[in-house]
Amino acid sequence: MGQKIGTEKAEAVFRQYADMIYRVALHHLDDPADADDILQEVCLILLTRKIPEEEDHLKSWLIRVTINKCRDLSRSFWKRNRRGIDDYEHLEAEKPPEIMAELQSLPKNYRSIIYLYYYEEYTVSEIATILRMNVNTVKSGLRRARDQLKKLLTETE
Amino acid sequence: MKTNAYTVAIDHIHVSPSAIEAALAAAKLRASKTASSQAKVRYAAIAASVVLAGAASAAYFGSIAGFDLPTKPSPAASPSIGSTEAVKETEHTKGTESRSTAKAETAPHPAEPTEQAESAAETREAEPQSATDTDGMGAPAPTDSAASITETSVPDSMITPSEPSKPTPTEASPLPEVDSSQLCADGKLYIALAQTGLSQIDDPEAFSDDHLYYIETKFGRYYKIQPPKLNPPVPSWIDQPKSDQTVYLYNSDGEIVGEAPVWW
Repeated sequence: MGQKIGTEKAEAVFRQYADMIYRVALHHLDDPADADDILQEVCLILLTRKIPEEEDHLKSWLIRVTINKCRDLSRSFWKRNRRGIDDYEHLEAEKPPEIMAELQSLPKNYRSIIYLYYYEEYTVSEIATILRMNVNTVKSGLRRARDQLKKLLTETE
Repeated sequence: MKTNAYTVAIDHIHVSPSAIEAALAAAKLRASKTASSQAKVRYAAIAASVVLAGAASAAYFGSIAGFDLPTKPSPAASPSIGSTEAVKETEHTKGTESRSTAKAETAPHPAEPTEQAESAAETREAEPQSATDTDGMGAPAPTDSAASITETSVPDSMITPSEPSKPTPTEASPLPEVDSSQLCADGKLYIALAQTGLSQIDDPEAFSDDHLYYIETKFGRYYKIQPPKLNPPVPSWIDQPKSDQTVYLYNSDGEIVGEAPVWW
């Protein structure tokens, strides 16, 4: 593993990857407020833990940490038992683009795979490493996600 | 990168600069808190006064929101917000002697988060001592703020109950005089105790839209509160009763601007 970096360096890294962390979290949690929370959690880890030195490794490590934090949050008692404020009908949340709305109807793992494959342009084997999945699982997940997304988008047209 | 509808949509997702700053500030604060016991003392000093402020705001909040204040299993008496005795009674009703708020008048050390409510009770009666202690820990600014909170006044409409159902100050714990502008550096933050007893923010219009605010429980979790989400008055993050909690309210600079014990 790498080294613990200073606050300034951690800040710089955080600012550089904040959008990516947020997007990964948003894909996984489908809740902007929770994604913001994850942003903070990851920032805390950057400030307090040893991090990889290599840029590429750092990026995939951050994605890994973000997804782990998202899973922690998803499993938490709090998350499983709370009712989101957005559930209140009279509070209109900002509507995401249509394709994002459809994407959010996919299972969490599929969403992350789609994001990493299409946006971050990781290969299937890299995604498998990041998500700690079997390569074939990623492949089939990617295929199913595509099919499902295609079906969803067709239905909405 | 291949451009398609998906990547275009993702490209439009950005974290706002204020969210980044807020996350950084809160994370730094959390990182420093684990290493600094002095900080805890400073937080306690600030929180001590803000608890009182929150209590006063609760009356105000209750009066404008028109809902009942915290209810207890025992119908014998309704607690006055900010009343140490009322808190004690609630805790005893629940059979949880270890709850921090029940020990407000006797516990000497404010360092633990669960004991910060104690500090509140002590500050009510002995503000100068609290200020001296805090100075000794090298944090004069928060103490000044804490002192000023308890010494300033609030408009009558903020603290005077106007309906029979609202709590009334007891002789043991009169509602403190509070200038709510002291609660936050920019003078835009109000704290209230909601129906469930958890402190929350009221008056969304008083918030600046480009700031985020955080709540921390004693378990270390921070909850972000966005100004647009403050209405209706009972937000989502309070629906899981957790007694024995103290919540802290942070502004986007990572400064504690409020604290209140939770009782359910």
